[in-house]
Amino acid sequence: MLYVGLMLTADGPKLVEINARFGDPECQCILPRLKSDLLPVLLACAEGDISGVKLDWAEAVCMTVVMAAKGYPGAYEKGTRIENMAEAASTECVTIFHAGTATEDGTLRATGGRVLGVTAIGSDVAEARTRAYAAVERIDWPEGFHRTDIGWRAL
Amino acid sequence: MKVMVLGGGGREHALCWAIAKSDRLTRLWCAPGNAGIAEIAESASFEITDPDAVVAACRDYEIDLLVIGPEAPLEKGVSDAARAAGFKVFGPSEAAAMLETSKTFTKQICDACGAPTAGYAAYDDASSAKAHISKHGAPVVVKADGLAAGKGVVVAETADEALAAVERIFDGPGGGSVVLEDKMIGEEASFFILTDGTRAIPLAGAQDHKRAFNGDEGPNTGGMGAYSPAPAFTPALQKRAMAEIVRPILTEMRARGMP
Repeated sequence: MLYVGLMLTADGPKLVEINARFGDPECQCILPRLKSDLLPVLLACAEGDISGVKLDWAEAVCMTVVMAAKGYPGAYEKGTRIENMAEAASTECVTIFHAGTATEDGTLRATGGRVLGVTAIGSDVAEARTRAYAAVERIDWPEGFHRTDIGWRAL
Repeated sequence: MKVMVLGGGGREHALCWAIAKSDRLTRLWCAPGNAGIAEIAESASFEITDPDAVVAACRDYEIDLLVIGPEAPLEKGVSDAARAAGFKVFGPSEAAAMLETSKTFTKQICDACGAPTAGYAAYDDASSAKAHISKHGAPVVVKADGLAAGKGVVVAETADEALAAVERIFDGPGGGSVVLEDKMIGEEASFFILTDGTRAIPLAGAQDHKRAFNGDEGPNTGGMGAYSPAPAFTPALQKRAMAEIVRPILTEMRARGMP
């Protein structure tokens, strides 16, 4: 696995940084587009032979909107209640990935800085974005915040 | 097949979610996981940054594949320890992880294989770095050499800002040396590639938003949102990135015996 950060300059792509892992939150908006079974792909990488790997992708755009605890990346409150998740998750083409969460007394609680990755698939950036934000708006978490302009460059 | 995933963030939830759909999966554990992961994987509890504890857990659960998400276990050598104990591991070796832990090292690899990157100078003392800034001025990108959780990079628009950044780096943790880079103009994109050290298969491009607030304002974070594919990273640019950057770097790494 290689993850390169690039600057798309007038002279073409140039390297900014290299990582040897899956990035986060990018991983959350890449895997939902993958139609192939991921498990044999991970296994092939682990075995050091990806010659048999063929990847099938959905012709779609996927977007993740991160919901974080107010104050992040500085100090923030822990243990706040998050509600209405089931309704939010039922939004068309939406999957909600958790980061800093735990269940306490049957209630979902925020336990970290970045807490949820609200992820939606659409035929283009605009549709994915509309769906993701529709789900974000349904989540009842007064102590959380999110950016409202994810994907502005691509619209 | 029995799989163990290490980590408890959004990335690991996405990995568990994708793995859980596989027909070949028989059991899935995640440590430490989170409330969302607990709906699709069994929870396992052990210290994921302790190589001995991870190897013991792999044996106890008789796992067939270990998937490592976060960087902390990699830094502690968990990946190498599990491999040495005979387990199959998705996650880089310590040698490969070196690419991200040292920015100077990354630059040396680029120099050796001709991969295009920003012009740079590396210094391991503050006064030489400051002399460089005084001579060349701003804008300049100041980077701490080691891992700094995304917080070791300052894009300085004035020489004063750059000098202050150099001082902070040599005073703070992760200091010790600094890389000064020419500022590049353009849109940033992330490009993910599957590799076994020899072959390389492009996965996807993406763009993310690092700043906390709207309009890309506010402090840097681990990322407030992302989308894939990124329209700006066209198929033509992807092809160039593979030919001019990814393949030369993999060839150079292999020549250095770093899988």
